[in-house]
Amino acid sequence: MILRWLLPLGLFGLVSIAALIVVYLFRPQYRRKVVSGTVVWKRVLLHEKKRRLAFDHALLFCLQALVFAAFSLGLAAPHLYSRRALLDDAEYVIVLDASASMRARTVSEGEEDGETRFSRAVAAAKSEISELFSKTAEGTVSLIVAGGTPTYLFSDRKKADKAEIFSMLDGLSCTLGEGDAVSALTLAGSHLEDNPHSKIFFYTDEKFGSLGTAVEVVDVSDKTAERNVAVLGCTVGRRENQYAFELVLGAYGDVSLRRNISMDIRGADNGQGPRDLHLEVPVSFSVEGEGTTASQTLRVTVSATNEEYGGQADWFFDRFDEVEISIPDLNDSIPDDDRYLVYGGIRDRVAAEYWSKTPKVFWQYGFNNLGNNLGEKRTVTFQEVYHDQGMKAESSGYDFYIFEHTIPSEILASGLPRDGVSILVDPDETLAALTGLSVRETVSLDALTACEGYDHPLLRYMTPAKIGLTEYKRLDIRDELFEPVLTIGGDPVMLVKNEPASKIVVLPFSINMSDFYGDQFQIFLYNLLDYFLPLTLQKSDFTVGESAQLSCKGETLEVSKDGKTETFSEFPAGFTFSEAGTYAFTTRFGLEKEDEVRWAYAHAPASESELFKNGSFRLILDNRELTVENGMDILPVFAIAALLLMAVEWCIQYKYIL
Amino acid sequence: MKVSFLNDGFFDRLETLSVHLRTDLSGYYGGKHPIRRYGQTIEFADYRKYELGDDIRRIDWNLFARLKKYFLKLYTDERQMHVRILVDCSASMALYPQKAEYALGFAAALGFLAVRNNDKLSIIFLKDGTFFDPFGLIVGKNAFFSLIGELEKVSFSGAADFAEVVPRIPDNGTNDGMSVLLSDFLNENRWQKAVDYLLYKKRQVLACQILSKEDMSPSFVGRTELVDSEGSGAGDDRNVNLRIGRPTLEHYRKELRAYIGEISGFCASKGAAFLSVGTDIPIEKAIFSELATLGLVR
Repeated sequence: MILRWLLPLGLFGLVSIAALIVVYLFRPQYRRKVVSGTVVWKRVLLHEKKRRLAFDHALLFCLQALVFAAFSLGLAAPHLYSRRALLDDAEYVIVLDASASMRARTVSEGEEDGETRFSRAVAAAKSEISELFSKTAEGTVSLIVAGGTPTYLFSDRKKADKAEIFSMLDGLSCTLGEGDAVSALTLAGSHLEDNPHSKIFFYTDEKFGSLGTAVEVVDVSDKTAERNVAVLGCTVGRRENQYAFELVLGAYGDVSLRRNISMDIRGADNGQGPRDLHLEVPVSFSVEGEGTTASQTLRVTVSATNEEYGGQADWFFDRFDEVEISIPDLNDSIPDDDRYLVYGGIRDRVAAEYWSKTPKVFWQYGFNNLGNNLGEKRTVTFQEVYHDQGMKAESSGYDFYIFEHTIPSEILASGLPRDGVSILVDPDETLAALTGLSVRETVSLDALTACEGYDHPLLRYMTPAKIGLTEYKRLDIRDELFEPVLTIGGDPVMLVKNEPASKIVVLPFSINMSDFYGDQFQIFLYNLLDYFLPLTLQKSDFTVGESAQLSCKGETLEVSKDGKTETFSEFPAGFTFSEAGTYAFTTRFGLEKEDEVRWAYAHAPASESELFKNGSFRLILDNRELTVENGMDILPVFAIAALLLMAVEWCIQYKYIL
Repeated sequence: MKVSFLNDGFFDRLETLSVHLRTDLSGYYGGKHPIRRYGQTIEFADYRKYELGDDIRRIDWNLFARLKKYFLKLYTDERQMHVRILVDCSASMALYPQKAEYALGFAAALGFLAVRNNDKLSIIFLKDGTFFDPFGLIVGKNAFFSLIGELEKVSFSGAADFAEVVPRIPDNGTNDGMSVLLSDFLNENRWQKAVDYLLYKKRQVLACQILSKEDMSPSFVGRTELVDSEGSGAGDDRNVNLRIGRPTLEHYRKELRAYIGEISGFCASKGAAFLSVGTDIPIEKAIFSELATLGLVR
């Protein structure tokens, strides 16, 4: 073992021994003085001792506590880290609010195209960048666009890139959706990890409280010269088979609105062919003063009996292609929200054909129930084929074909329908002629026996154990494309084949010989619709930046807007409305059916029409001090302090010892 | 030691004074101190009824003429007292010469007042743990003046233990006069027990503390080993090591005042008289003013 001194200077502490010797050699000498008596002096001494002892005890305690503290702190290996001075290479992070409200422009009499908030923000950002580059050539700047998803326009650019930066800023535009300022600022805050002295400039039109010392919020709105009127939304409903529109208007700022709002209903159809209708809806309301807001709801019922809006037979319609609502001749800060489009006037048609040797009411009741419950979105029709009256089963024109007990001869001749789903219930030996299945035998059960189910969309929300059978037909399956959905004792009692050109459901049991009819049967019919004929979209109006789940009745779905098309083949699919406007959704079928087109409208969120909103989130981004890694070991300082404290403590004790 | 006070002028001034003692003492016949008992002097004191056996010469016939009853005339009695002066001759009294000089002068003055009143006088010196009575009983001015010169030869040394020595004095007397203790009372000499003893002997007691200027207001500062003058020198238990500063001196003066107050309180509680004088006060003033204030001379 080798003994080494990492800090040899510490050995100078041995000098303290010499100091100790000196102290002992030159102890304080008392001058002798003879006095008459010491009675009074002893009383003085007693008092002095009491006074000094009290003080000395307190002092000794403090010193001893400090000695222990110094030793304890020394044991913790103290290091002193010096703080780094403010960085010279200043870093700016600019966050531009790109929400739709930043499109608001100033409005003045006779001027059509005022300066927008966004252009003011860009100009202010340019000015800040120029100032930074004028101060230091080493300064860096990054810019984050706070749109729906925050993105870097550029990052860590220096003075040499100034022209390019400005060019990029000039080409920048804000979105028509909401801006995710929180994520953008959080992203900007990540710069503080690398450089805690980064300065974040947040150009926005919303009012915020303090966002921390690192963030400078710049309000680019000019509320004295901004006002806005907007169609915030329109909901469509059907009341007593008539269309009712509910318009919501908003006004912000100094606005006085007394005029008619135009409603153009295109493709209105009452069964006699589509036509266009035009309505003028009078509206009158006003708000006064900066920062004031108001909203008004207008209810418009279009019907043959409403004299104000309609009043004649032509005004009756049960479908429409598009409704356009607009406020004409309006000069306000955000022109985009003066117009609004409504779709969803075309309800999906669901048609079912039923053929049975011994007809039952189960299927008719079931589909009628569907029609009643889904009337807002779907039109359900049910056609029973009375073959005993000479009616023939149709092999096209329906979405569902239900053949019970046997397959009609005309279908056997033409083959299963190729434009819909064939549902074969309790089939007989004819099954083998049109499918890869055949009936081997009829199985009779002693008692009602519960089924078992697979995890399949057709059984969603169903309880297989609640379906009991007393008899079913055991099938031989040659076509492997049939997948079992429901089984009993291992034998499939519900099979599905879902191929682009062939969609078949087989139920090899008689509903009479089961307790299937009931709540489980109704859920099953819902599942049939959702599985084979799902709605493409659940609604037809969206806000920019909103995501929707796409479903498809056919094989592919094409989404088109302004000539750009996106095709989906896997469902359900996610889709984001990134731009404002009308989107067309075209369904292409594998079956022999015509393409189906539906429309949806994406508009700026209503909240973006509000000119005077306040920021609703709270985020604190503070500049913090830096510490350097290589600090100074101050253990010797604590050792010296402990030594000195002990020396002082000893000196005080010394008074009483010597 | 040459005592500057012991001269004719000093004693001439004292001619005008006399010691005033308590009236409940018994004393000896032939003195000048009136006492409470009725005696044979010519000063009328009271009447009382005649009783069988009384001297008929003392009947007040004038009163009998008016009242037709026999009353005796009573006269006051006067006695001779024995004044014993116990002088502390320890080393502490000689540390500052003026203190010893002052003590001897004070003793001489009181002694003079005693003999002038036809009282008996004893001056006893306490030192070296014992007592000395070199003069014996002094009666009359002549005897006093013949011995007074010897006071200058008294030496001071050692310690004076009052509690030990006073009871050992053979003729302390009982109810026959006054005992005077002259000391600085700055040592642990148990003077309180001596006072108790003398009071037990029904004597009138005067404790007289004599302090020098240095005792009352010391002026030395710094680290000091204070050596008791009656101790054995360095290393004595009575010595005190003290770092003396101005506040300490101020505190000493405060403690001294408190100590004198305690002595005074003790004496007052026992029925003894106490007088504290500094050597800076002229001895005449101490006699004429301070003792007169206490009612001991008039």
